[in-house]
Amino acid sequence: MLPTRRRTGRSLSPSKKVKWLAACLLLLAVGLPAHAQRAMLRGRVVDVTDMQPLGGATVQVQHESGYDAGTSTDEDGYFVLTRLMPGRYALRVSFVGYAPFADTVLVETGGDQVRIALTPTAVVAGEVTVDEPRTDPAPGEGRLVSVRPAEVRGVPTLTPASDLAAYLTTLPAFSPTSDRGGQVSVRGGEPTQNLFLLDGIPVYQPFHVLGEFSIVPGEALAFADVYAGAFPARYGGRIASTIDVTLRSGNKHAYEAHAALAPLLSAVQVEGPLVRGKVSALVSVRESFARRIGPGIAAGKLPFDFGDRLVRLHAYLTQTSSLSATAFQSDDRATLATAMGDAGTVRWKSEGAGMRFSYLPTAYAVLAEIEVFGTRLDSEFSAPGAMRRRSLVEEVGGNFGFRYLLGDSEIRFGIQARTDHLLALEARREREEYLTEGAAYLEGAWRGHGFRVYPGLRVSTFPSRSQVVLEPRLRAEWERGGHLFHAGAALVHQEIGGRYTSADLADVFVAWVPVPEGSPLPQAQQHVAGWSLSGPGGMVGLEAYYRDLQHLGDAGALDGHAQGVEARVEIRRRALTAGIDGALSSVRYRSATAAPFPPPTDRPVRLGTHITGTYRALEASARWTYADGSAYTPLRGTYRRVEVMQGAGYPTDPGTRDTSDGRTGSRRLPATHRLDLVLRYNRTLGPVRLAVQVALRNAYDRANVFYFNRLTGERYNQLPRTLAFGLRLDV
Amino acid sequence: MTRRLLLTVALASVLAACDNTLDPFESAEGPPFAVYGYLDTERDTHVVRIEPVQPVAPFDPSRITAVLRDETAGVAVEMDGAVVTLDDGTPGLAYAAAMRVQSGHNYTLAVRAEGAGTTTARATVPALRPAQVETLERDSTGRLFLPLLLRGPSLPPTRFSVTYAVEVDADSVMVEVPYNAGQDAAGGYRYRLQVSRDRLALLSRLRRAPTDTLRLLGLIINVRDDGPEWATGTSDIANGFGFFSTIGRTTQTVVLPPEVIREIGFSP
Repeated sequence: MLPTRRRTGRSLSPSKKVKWLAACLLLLAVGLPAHAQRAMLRGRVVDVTDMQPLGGATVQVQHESGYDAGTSTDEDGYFVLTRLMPGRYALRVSFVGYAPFADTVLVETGGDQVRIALTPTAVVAGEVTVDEPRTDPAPGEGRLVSVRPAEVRGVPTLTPASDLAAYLTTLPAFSPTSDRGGQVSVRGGEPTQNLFLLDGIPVYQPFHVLGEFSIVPGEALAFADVYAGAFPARYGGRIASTIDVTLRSGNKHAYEAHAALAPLLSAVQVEGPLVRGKVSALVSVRESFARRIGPGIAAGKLPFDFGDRLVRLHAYLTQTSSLSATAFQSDDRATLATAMGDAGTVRWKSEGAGMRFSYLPTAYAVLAEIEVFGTRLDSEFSAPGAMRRRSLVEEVGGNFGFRYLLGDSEIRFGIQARTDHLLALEARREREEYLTEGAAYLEGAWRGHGFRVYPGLRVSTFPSRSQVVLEPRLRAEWERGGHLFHAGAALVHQEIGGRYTSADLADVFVAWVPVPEGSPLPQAQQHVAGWSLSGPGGMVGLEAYYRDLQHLGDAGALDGHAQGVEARVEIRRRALTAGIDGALSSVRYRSATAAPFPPPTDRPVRLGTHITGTYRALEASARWTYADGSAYTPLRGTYRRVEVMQGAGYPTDPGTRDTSDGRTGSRRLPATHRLDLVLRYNRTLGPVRLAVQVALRNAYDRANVFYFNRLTGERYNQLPRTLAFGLRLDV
Repeated sequence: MTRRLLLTVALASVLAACDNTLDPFESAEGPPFAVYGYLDTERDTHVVRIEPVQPVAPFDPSRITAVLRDETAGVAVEMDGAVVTLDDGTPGLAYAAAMRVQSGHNYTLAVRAEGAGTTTARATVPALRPAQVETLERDSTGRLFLPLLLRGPSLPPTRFSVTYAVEVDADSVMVEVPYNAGQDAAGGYRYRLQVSRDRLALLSRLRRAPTDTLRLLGLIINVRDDGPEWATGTSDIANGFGFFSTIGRTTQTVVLPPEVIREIGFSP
């Protein structure tokens, strides 16, 4: 379906379509007070220990007459139950890892407000005792997974501090192109087709140069929603995946500190109240000392530096409104080093800031949210004898959203706008562009009889390209006895994408560029279907997907598809956690002139397994990952291209190295696999929790490719076998 | 049986996973050479540069054979190879052959190395375009023009000039006058020689008075035609890369009738 296609004289122009949708949204908003005449219960659910809002908690009420209703809290812990009969209700609130809350409330005409503080249940050695069946925030919604801090902490890394990226790369849908380079492919999509939001701020380079680290420390994470297909309509602009991260608000009752000392990445995080019970702050600083300490702990140099800094302020302005502000900065640098010297450097700096205001009006059953943000990425690749490449992205934007709560159902709608400044310097050519995008979205949710249905529609307009696109979305779920069946479909478009160099087979550097004028927008039709069964002892899940791709490549001349099936098994016992992930996939591109071929992101088989066992104060983990090598185009040959001039004899100019390509995508890089081992000793000394860790990365010293230049034959491998010690303190 | 099959598949998978070789080349039988050079009818010896294509061809003149063949005349010459130093100090391979190339002939350069296949480049030297003088013309101001048709393709040559051979103090003197564009014409390409203007220019160059009358010994037409590869940038090279073309130069002496010579201000 091409939404921009003109059909008859009666069809609406793009601008009229937007106006029409805006009018509908306005009518919807105006119509809200009608429901305010009935009784209503609104409030917020928080953690009693630190006042963290608990998104996804289940809130249920039952009237004396037997009438009952329920809902779940949003990301800021807010909930609203509308259309209630005035009277006395039994209120029950539950959330994974917390003791259930039960009370009786009197709901009167016009509404009432409550604040509910849940108490965490026992936490034993990182294992959460589950008292209730797991409930994600607003269950389903098509997310692949909603990641919690406890899950992130359960994945062993080279440092005692945890990181969101280490967990994401255990998911079968995620495939890092390398352990360096900061590029992650999701279900065969290109790394630049992933939308990463940090408290609503788009982050163009969320992963560090050492691939198992992102800009999100596990200790700062509240939760992360990961969508690998059939996104809700509020997300747009990327065609492969969406990762929506919400940071912790900070403890509003007491000060907390986490410190981790390790050569690969050392971290300090402090959080606490600025105004007790109302305003809190969280500050995180992480820095790698690998370049300085590397030779002492690894077989050779560890030629990279990276670090990040996060600040978040959160305030409860009133009982029904909150304000948060987030700022981040990260920088990375990696040298392509050999025994003969440094051959090139890739570096980038990512930074951004944003603010979010949430408001639950007294009279209306609607949650309003306003977000503004600015984000920037400046990256560069330089090598001796090669031309410098640089990419700059600067973006500012905002969202204005509403969530209209109707008991078991809800309607969500809003408008979004952003403007971008893009600069790309490649092969001595500089390309600079300014782009804008406006979007409006409408989402619905209907729940009942074990079914959950989430329809949605997004309208995006790109004035700089004179294009308007309509993106329908749909997701449905059916849950019964621990079994969850789901299916969904979505149409998504992307205006800004990445360009890689064909010489580098591992895609270390990417330039962000817009779709050329006159070219159609790249688009994906996503289809997913799956099943999962979960319980206290673990889970098993299976998901199949098919993504029809159109208008890819520099000139939009490539079409294609990505399809696959993914499986995940997790076993949780008191002292043992184990999991196996597997994925089979196929990605093919095609053009009018070329037969179908696999792009570099096609990695047909991926496997991962991890196991963590605890014995008293000791915790041992092992993690093995495997991925087929990326497809690449082999060379028929390389030679020096020379310009022949008349008048001279034979040409004496040495010329430039040129290539003749073989069959596109007909070769694969060697498979990537490695084993990581971690041994940790945990000890509690009064208010201080201490952990001492020793980690062995790439235990059998597999030489996985990091960078390979097919023209020069230069190859740089990923990290060799590396032994790292670390210390962690939590106060 | 099934167990054995599974075991075999598992073993093959493990072996495939352990393989860590990375060869960026498709095969060892790709195009072996890139050739760079051209044949010029003005030269007796022709030199071409040969670039081996990695990883196929060797960088060793003793293992490379280059043969230049005049397909029209049926003559072939084996070229002599040598390692030369390029502008940046790196070595290159240059191959030379003594051969007089002729207009209208087809040439083939075949470069082969043992075990690496053959790269073949083909080019044709543009054929001679016979010059045909037409009737003298005079415009309203009295200036004379001599139309001249180059028979053949209706395309401008790369370079066109007229050489006036005159007798000065008992010596023969040649004065060349270049011409720019002519006109497409039926059966060829036409120039309009500005013989009145050329005569005055010639006298001025020889420091003679405009009223002097020199003896015209001959009118020589010089035409240079480059091979079409120069314009397109692509050459007919099989199983290889590079650039290979030709330059054809021809001279023709036009015999003018005595009355025409007198009319344009010379003596026959």
